[in-house]
Amino acid sequence: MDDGGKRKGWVCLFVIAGMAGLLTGCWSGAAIEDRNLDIGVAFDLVEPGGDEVKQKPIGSTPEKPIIQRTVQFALPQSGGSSGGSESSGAPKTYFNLEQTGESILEIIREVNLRANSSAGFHLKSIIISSKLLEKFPMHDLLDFLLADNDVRLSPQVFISTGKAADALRTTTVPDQIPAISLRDILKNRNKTARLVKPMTLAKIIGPLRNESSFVLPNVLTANKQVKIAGAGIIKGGSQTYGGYLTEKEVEGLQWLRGEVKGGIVKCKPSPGNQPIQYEVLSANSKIKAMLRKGKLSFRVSITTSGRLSESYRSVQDKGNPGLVHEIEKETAKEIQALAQGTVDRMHHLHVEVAGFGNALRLQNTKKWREVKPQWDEEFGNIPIRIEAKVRLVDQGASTMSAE
Amino acid sequence: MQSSLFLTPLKLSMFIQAGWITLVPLLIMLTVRKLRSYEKGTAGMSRTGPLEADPIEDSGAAPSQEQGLLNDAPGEYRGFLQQFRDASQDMADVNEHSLYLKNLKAPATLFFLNGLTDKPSLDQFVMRPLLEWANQTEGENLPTGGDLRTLLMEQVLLVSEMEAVPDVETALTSVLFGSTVLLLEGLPGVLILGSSRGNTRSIEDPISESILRGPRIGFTEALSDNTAMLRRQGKSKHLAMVSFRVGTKVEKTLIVAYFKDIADPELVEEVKRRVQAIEMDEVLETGYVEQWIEDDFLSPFPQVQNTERPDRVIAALLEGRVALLLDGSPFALLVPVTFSMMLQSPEDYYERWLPSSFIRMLRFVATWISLFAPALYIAFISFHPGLFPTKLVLSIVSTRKGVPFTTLIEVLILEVSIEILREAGLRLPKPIGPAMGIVGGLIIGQAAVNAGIVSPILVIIVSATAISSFVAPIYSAGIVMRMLRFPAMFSAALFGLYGLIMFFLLLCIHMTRLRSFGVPYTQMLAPKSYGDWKDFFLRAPLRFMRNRPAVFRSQSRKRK
Amino acid sequence: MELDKKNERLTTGQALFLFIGSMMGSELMTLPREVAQTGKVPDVWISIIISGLFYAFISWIMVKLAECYPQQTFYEFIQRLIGSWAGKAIGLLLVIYFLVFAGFELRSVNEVTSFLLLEGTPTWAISSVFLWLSLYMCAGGLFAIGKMCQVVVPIFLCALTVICLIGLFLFDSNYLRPVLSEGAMPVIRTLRTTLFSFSGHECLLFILYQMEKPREGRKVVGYGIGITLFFYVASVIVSIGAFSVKGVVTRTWPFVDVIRGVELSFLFLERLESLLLSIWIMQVFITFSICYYLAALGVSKVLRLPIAAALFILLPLVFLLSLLPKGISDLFAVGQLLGLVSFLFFSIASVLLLLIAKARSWRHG
Repeated sequence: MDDGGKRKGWVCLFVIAGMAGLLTGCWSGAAIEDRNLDIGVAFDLVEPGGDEVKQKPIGSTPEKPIIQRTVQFALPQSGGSSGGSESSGAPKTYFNLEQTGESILEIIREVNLRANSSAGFHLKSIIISSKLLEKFPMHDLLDFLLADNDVRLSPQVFISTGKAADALRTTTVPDQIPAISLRDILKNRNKTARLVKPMTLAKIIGPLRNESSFVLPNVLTANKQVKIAGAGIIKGGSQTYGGYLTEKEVEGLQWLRGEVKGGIVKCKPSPGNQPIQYEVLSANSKIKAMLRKGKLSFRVSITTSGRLSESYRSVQDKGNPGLVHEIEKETAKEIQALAQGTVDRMHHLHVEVAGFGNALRLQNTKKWREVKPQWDEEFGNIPIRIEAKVRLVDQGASTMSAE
Repeated sequence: MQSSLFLTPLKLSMFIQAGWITLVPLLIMLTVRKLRSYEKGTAGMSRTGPLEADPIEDSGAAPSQEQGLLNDAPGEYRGFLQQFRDASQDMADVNEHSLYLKNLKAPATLFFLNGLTDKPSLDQFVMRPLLEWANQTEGENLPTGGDLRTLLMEQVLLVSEMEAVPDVETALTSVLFGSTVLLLEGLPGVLILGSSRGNTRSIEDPISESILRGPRIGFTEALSDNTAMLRRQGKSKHLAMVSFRVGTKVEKTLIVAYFKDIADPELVEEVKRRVQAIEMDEVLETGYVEQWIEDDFLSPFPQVQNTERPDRVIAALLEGRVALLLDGSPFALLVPVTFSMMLQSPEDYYERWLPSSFIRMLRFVATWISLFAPALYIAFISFHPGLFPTKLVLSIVSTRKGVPFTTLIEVLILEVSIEILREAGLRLPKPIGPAMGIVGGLIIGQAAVNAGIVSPILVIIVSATAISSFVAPIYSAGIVMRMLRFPAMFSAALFGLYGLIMFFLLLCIHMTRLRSFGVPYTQMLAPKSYGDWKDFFLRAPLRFMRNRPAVFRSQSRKRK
Repeated sequence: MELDKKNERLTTGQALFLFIGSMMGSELMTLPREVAQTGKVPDVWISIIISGLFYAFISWIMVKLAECYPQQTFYEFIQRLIGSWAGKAIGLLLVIYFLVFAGFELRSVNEVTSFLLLEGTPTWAISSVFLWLSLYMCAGGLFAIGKMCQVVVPIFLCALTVICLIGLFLFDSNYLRPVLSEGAMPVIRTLRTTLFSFSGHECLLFILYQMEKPREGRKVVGYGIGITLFFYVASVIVSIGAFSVKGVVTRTWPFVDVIRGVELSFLFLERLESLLLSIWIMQVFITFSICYYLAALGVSKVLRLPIAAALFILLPLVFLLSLLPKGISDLFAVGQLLGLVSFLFFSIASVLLLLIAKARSWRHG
């Protein structure tokens, strides 16, 4: 055959092309075990002159605040060698890498010189110290994460009034990875009223770009234990740290927003009586903006239904309608007090995170546009009336067993 | 809106890339054309040619035209005998038996084949009546020539299958098929008496398509048995069976079966045309036929379905398809076929519709797994580890910690060895087979994991893949999946999920362009009428399936 | 073989999916950002509905026009309507339009793939696989494309539904309320963008003649525009509900970010973005191929070449065109320009041509 040679040439060509494809292939493939899995990240402010300054960045001037970024990598279980700073008997499940720099970008550039490529797609928690947020606005810190193609928009964002990196060093239960267990705490929102609605990176985009205030759960570490205690406020306009809400105030905030998913309200019906516990089943709140003669005021009506979870009173009393009514009233009073406390606190801090602004926007857009530029300041002078309505739907299982 | 566009200046490298992009498909296209032209060169010419000889009808094969030739003078006995002896000189298995007919005063000779001729019936129904007739009748008023033959055929011999031929050549051929040849002095031509028995297999449960519920019969190697099985399955006067002779050196009978009132006449014509285009010295198996009549020999997908089950054939015929049966092969061919039929089993229709729908969907899932599971593993591990839950990733990472190879190599090692194992297991004698499976599967797998060559998760995936590929109810469909798994793995290793999607698209495009006897291969995936979906992922209740599938353009759509 | 030819007609379903496939390409992922940029209010979705209705009308006119000339593509009947030379010139301009459109789709795939799926793989490698496959499909003709649409587009619509459902995890209705707070002006202003986002509908002019039942062209238009409109509106509402108007503006691929923002801890796969993106790539593949095929069809009809030759000639051109925009913002500018051309040319042309056609048939009695 005449063109046998030609055909052979083609076959060769294809074989070569195929092999070249195989050899040059896998441009972007990198086996999973060769990459560090970022699980958590913490941002801290390095105190000038403090002993935390481990490596002084080259060419830094002492006036400029220095950011410390702690990245947590998860280590596979059977890896064997312990990676943590202190080597104990059990293999470490994680490893923390710290870098400092004047800006996030500088730190990122630095990290590539120190460790093998990292993969951000499993990032779970981002913790930012409140001190850092006093110096840097939120978007400065998050912009890199928001624009990165590896990092998803699903990690939870926390604030820490203490040292943020500490939260990545400790877990309440040993052997867990701090960044993961921290995020898992947030799943308890239907059991306690003291956890604010968690904010993922995706959810922060809205308030961040609209320059509205929002709250982030606050992480504290003490006695080698991690706790989510209270919440930190990010101020709208500047996107910097705006103050701290205690646990009680967080509870009040939740009531104001109608976001209580569960939890217990403790109250004493009358001075002599034993305390009762009201377990929330559902809660709702409505904020009504009222404009009278140019004066703005708000009325918050909170409605909730729940049951008595455990009571030290005698069981028979529970079914008594008079008593039920009394308990409902007392609980309402307690909720009102909680909410009022939060409102007072917000007035004091000159920041509004409970959704009053939003309510005004929805109900009276014209007025909202008027007050919007200095809303946080304006809010301090607006009177707010809070009403709470409690309904006991269930007296707990113990009533049934008694009768 | 921005009106001024900022364009990149074109660089030489871009033109080189553009050239690469154009040249590669051009080369591929030219190669494919060249290959197709080779195929056309051998068979395609006659394939597109007009119908040549008329097929010999199975029912009405009358030797009437040969009658004239046969009317010869009755003196050829010696010549015939000599010719026959010469022709069968080096055929030790052709036996010769001489008789003497007293009334005719004529010698006669019987030729038959050892092993293929049913000797007791030869004794009983040929020799005995012949000799008794010769002893009992007087020789005066006996007819001669053609009349003698008629007398013998109509009154003496107790054989239903009889034929008179003028020459020795044809007679010898039929002797080799098991018939008996009678040479008689004074008798024009040669008498062929059907007495073939042969050692055929009894009807058994088909091995390659065993099912739990349904008839336990499978085709055998004997064509007459097979056609009989078909007839027994469906008593219909519309079931046509047209016979063809295939093979130039060694002839065999091939039967094209279809329902006259259902099958699309154009389809039937096309099948007949392609069957006649077969040019081979011998057609050993229906597999040969399949490869001669299929539409696209470059496609990895089988375009003809094969089956051992008569019930399946009848069901297919009732849908308006055409079946081909070949003497000597227990596999019938069904055309046309669509991809989804490769995943259907007759059992689907015998069980109630809910369980069979479930099983059918399970089969789709299994096919999917057997095709894409290792490729997905590669794509996820080396390109998109973000898709797995974090905890799973951590456990995968810990198991893969010691593996020194890239994912592709790791998967290839295991996949290739499991394919080898499977192939080896097929050829092994039955008692050793399971032992081999245990050795291969368990011990080698475990050892490979312990040695740190592969990760345990991969072992799970590869074995799940292997098991899934056994689910395919048709063996040849299963092979395709096994084969296509490898390109899928390569494309995943090159481009991750993107490569996999492109591979999937390639398969889909190929299948949409592929046709089996004019019927689009993906007719189910992209149907002409969504009514056909009643028998696709789901198997709708039989009451709902009133219409035949629109795919086959059958003459009457209603099932009645 | 004559058996093959019999099926070479598009069923109504195939035409419908072709129509949807040509409209919903890469635009969908960026649409929320584009409309939010122009509108700056959450009410932009109303504007999309308005333009959808407008395009339903235009498409209806196209059907009418195509009905006047059964068995002919736009390339052919425009030559009959306005004269051979003018028709050929317009045909060639359309070829350029479709080529730029195809290049735009290819580039979008390259951008998304290199950003989110395959960081570091060179563009030519990603493009070449894409282009080869498209060539293979287009060589099978409109029928092959139609069948592939029938496979891919429903999968894509399912994926879109999944994305929208996932988006509900992030959804905050406060970002969308109050409706029309700034009056109707922003909505009308946004028409400037939304009217350009239905480019691709013009493929009707080229597919109707291939339909098995051309009478059902109106059905195709109705369902096609309806489904497209629904998902356009859903994508905008979901994205704005997740990120707010101002947040959407800052995201390059807002609809992709909706998937990236949710972690599904209850599934085998925690995140679906790569999976859904891959499905989206299939869809863009379809859109690309339709444009590519229509461009090749134009070349073959105007210059009287076999379609395979036209496909091969255009292959390197499409690739080079896709490399032309410098950055991603230039790419989006190209997209806007395409929308503008599609809006101006096809709206005006189809109305005018219909009038001419009617006038002619009236004159002829």
